Amino acid sequence: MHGGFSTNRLQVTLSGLRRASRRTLVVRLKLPDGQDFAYRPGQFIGLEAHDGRPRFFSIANAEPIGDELELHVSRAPGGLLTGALFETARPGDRFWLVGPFGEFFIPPDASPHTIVVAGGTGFAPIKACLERMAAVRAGRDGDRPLHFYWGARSLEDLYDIGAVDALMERLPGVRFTPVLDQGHPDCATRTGHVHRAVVEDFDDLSDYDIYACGAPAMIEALGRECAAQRGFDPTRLVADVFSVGPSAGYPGRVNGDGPINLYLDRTVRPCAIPGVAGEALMFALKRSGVPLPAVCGGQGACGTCLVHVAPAWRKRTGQPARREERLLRYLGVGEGDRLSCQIPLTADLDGLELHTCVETKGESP
Amino acid sequence: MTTTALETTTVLETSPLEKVGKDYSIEKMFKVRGMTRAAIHEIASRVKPGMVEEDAVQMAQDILAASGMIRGWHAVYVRFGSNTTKTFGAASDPGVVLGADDIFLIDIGPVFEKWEGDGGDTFVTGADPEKARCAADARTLFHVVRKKWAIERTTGRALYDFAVAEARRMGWELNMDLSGHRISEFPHEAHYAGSMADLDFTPSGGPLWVLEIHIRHPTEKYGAFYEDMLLPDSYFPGFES
Repeated sequence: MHGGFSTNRLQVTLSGLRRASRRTLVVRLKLPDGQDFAYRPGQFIGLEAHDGRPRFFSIANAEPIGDELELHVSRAPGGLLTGALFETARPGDRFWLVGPFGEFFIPPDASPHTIVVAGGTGFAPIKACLERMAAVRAGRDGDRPLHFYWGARSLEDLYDIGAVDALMERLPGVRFTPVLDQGHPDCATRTGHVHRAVVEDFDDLSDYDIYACGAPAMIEALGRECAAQRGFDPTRLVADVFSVGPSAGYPGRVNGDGPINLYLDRTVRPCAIPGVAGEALMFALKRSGVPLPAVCGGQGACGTCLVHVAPAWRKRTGQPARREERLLRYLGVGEGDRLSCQIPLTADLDGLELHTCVETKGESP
Repeated sequence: MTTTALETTTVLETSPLEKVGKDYSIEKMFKVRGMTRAAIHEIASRVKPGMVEEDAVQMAQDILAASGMIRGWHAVYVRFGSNTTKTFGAASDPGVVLGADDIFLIDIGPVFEKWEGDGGDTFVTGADPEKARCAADARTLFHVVRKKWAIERTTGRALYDFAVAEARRMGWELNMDLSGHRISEFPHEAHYAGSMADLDFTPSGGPLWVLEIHIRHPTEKYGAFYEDMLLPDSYFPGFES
């Protein structure tokens, strides 16, 4: 074992911007020349905004297309990064990318009792996973049934229906059901909440796996209603939750995926900070606005992302590796103080209690 | 060569991007520069064929720590073989073993007390003439570009446009992800976190800027890196005009 936990931090170039609908951009990012970037379909990356904090987006392609990653971006109200992408970004602009993160994945050999549900741009990681499935099954098993529901506000928010058509050609067993919040006069598409469509279409979900990507409310309602009304086992829900809020718990956390609630100085800040399995603690804290300089970008080198781990949690956060221990000693910090970039988040850290830590060396920024 | 004063005697703050903090010290910056160069050469002297890259990184960290440079403003990179094409911040492919006819680069950004260092160099283990040329060309290109700045007072942007063209002329591709940056008391990010290649003014000749050259073979999986402060000839023995 060689020292701790590290994450890629790469400078990528905006290579393509396509307005796929009024609310959605399909963004292409070119990886640095000659750079291999290994990820698994279903994973997501962070793009750092001008405030230095990353915003997270799922990768929409199973493999880089000509060294390019594809992201589907919907505009966040008042969002610094998404606002810039929609208004001012131009091909050639550069961004710092961190990642990949996350454990969401739809196995290519998923059983015929598989339901996949996307909400809005939750289609992105599902597209990547189904592309991988199509490549693996390639003519062998393509007609195995798979039920795919895509919920969107309106017809135009099914922003990449061409990609669905292409996938269905390669995976003829896919049964696609679009569900719109608002109906369209020229279209007989179903309307209502996407999770309700799943409940309506199946009498018994006791032997089904559900893979879902979207907003916390949709994921939560899907798990809850399928379990309550159709005998669904909530531990068989594998979810990738977007825009996780302070208390966005949902049933059936599988593979350690989903929000991990973190508490920093709980007495003065009672709301949980949401973290995601697979990312370093530092990224979750920075995303929520905790002012950690993290100068080295999470490489365990600079010592500017210190946190104090409450005694009850120290066993679960583990012992610092040799290099981290040496830096902590140099910085003159106390027992329980850790570099937050060296603590990978796992499901068993849900509820982690932390305190702000001040470096005593007096050389921090 | 003096290490206490600049040829130009003062650091001219021509832009807010060249600001320094109250702890900034020209003397200390040069001291860390010397420590950085020495560490690079000590690390290189201990890298041997058959070594696994991860062990070399750990060894480099130990050498820096023994010199009082435990903290770094960026990670320690020792990259072997095909990993020499990886850009700054990218994780290396794991388990790469250095061959007998191979190439490796070192890129360190240590902090000594309150001051940042930054430096890099590339070395070969055998007699492969193309790899040797790659390592030598990174060094040569560094000095060619530096001399252009020293003589023509070129802007940061024009300097890297020139570097791209020169690299191509030499048969290499320049990696513009590594295109120069500020350096100062720790952390320089407080003043300017961007690259020198984005500057529309001439960077000052104080220990304020770092010139980076990362070249890669256009088709083969190897490259070379050289990095030092952007300084006049008198700070580079053997390169005086």
